[in-house]
Amino acid sequence: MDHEDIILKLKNGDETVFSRVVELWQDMVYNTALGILQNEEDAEDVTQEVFVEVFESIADFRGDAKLSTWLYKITIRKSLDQERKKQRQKRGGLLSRIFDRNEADDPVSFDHPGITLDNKENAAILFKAIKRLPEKQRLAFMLHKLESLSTEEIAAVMETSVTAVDSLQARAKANLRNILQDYYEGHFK
Amino acid sequence: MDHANNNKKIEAVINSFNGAERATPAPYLLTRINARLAKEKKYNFWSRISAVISKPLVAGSGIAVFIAVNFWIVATLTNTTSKTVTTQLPTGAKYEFAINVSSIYDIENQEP
Repeated sequence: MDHEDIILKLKNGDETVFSRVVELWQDMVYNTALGILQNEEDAEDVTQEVFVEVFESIADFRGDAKLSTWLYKITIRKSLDQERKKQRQKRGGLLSRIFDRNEADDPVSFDHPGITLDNKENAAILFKAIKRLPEKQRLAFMLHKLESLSTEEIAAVMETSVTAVDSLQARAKANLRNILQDYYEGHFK
Repeated sequence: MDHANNNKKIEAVINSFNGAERATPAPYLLTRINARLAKEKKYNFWSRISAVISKPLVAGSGIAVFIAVNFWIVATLTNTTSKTVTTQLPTGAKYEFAINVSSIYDIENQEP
């Protein structure tokens, strides 16, 4: 079944094709959401939301981009929304934390299930450092490293030029080096 | 020496995603998505409206508008009532003490 066939059948509400779409792209969507959110429960929630949106708004899909690019865009938008929602909740709970000093201030380090065992410790440090990057640099770095997307594919997902993606990735690496330098010099835990 | 060691560590950290596999969601994701879709279908027009109305901002604004309209109505009625009273008082007194107004007695006992 080719791309156009899938989209046409999805637009007609074909549930068999929809289950095939979920089966094909669930790992991609989940892995992207997990990389951004660094929380398995939230990533699972976002994955469900993405496919619900795909089913409900497939009529809006014009077909000028690949279906996977459209899925990446929805996943990133929903993950960032979820992240902002969590940050708002955290800010709201600031007052309660002032009075409850027992609660840990530092977030728990994230253990990505796809990382090889010998890289687990370093990856946890990298995930912590990535959180400090500006949003676009973080996305460009993550899509390349965790999803192995090419610069052209990242440019399509982020709706920007290839040179802009190259620049984002270079700045992301430079910033990560600075953050990690601070980490090893003991300024950032 | 320390600096070189740190640089080595930093490079190792930056390259720690190399060879990573995609994480997979928990099993039966499709079942959970279908359940979510079925739940969303249940939401009809009125339940969506009630969801919007029950939002604190919308509900608060609604109550504020309701109170403002009430104040406006009460203020308008108070002004109208006082004007009516002042204009009606002399008229009422005139009719109350008028003796040349024909009464039901005069109508019933008319001379042929």
